[in-house]
Amino acid sequence: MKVLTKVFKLMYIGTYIARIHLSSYIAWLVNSVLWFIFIFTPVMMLSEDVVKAFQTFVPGLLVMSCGGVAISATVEFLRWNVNQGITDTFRENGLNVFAYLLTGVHIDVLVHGVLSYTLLALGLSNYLNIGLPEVLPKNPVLFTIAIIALIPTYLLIGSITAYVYTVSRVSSAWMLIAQMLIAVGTVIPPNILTSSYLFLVNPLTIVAELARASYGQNVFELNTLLQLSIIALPLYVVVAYFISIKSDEYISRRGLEYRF
Amino acid sequence: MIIGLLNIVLALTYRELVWFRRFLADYVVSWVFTAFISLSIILIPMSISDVGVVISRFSSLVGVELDLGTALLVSVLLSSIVPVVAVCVNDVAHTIFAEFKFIDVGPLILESTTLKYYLLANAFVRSSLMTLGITAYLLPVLTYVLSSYGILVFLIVELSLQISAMVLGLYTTLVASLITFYTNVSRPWVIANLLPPLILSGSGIYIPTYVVPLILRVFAYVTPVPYVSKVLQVVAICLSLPEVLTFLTIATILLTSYLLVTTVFSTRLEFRVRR
Repeated sequence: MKVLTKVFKLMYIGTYIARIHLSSYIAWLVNSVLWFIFIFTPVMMLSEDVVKAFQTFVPGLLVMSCGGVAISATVEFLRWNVNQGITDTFRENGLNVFAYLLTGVHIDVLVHGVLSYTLLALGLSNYLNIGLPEVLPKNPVLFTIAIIALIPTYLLIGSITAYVYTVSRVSSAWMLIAQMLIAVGTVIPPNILTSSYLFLVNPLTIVAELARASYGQNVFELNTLLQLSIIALPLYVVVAYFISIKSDEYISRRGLEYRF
Repeated sequence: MIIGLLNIVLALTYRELVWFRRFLADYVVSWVFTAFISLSIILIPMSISDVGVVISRFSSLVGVELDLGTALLVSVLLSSIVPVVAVCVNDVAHTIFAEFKFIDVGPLILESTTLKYYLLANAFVRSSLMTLGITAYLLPVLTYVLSSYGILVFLIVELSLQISAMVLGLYTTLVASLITFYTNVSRPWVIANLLPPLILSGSGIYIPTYVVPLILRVFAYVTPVPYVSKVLQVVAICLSLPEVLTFLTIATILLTSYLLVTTVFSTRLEFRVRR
């Protein structure tokens, strides 16, 4: 109960931080939808079956987009908040990097996940003349599960990013490469190699497959996918928590160089 | 007067070269990002479709029968416009926002030169040098694929992109100056960040423009991006001189018009800012 109260308090703070940055969120939303339309309209048009292409790639894009935001939000947090001493205040109050990730996760999943997905789906259906029944998920329950599953995955991706950015000297430019790499398993479905299980190296693959399953375009068998999710998703939260502690220990002991 | 302009050009060139060294990692990432886009557009559909179907659909979009290698080359050349638009618009605008709105070095600039010269030099030098840096990867790629003919293709592509970048630089200068000096927007970069995807998605580039909604086309057709994408498409397949000349004519008209408007606008702006 105490933990849950703490989580809700953090999310409450995150909601108010997001309200301050409302104009940036709206701009980011429109911006990302336009970029995705620019890149994915030709991808759809070149595919044999436009509807199948939509139902395969766009749910993957939803997951990739959230993973990408987890990476960029973490790097921003470390760069600005460590520089301004805010992480010290966090630590003095018993909160670590994980706590920061929790403050924004619901907003990022809602804005960059659900809202941008909805706008993109409407935009692409208009561009490519895809009917509304094909755009909507066939199984809304599975789609909702995928959206909820984005939360632990966001936390894991964010904490891994925090650890790599803290202990190594990589610049944030290289984080963009990581944002491109997570396309494998999300936008690119795990059917291009003989063993699909290799794609599980990317933690986002399970969530992308869940989202694709809501349209009936999953590569993994549905039962296997659900069993994998039950094991993996709680594990993601635990692993994310411990990785965050490690990066926080590193920051408190050695600090963090302010770098781009 | 000429010496004054030359000094600003030299100062901006020096700063750009220093920044190129400092932000080399970002340039490398942009090369990788561009390659990623160009390959993704052709290869991602292949994960659920037959290779032959993807190539034949791409051929019908381009209007010429292509094989996989040529299709990839067309895609690589078409995607080269993406970082040019992103970088020119963002960086020219952000320089104006930063120097006159946030860091406030505007008075220092006005003491050393005229606002008109500074804005024009910023539009030309930044766009031109950044385009050179951001498209440098094309030379080894084209030389590898097309051997010595690749150098000629690179020169034509670079010339087309350079002219486009300059027009984009002037276009952005107008927009950024209006925002900086005539409004009180607290986060002006939000508008600048929105322009590249608006221009790119309005231009079609990979898709026929009739698919693109009219509202987006309006943003794109006042820039050279839709026209340069035709040149990039043609140059990858065969060297069609009429296409290149048509583009050069349109680009020269656009460049002259923007130069005229920006010169008149910045002269009037100078009076307002100094007062």
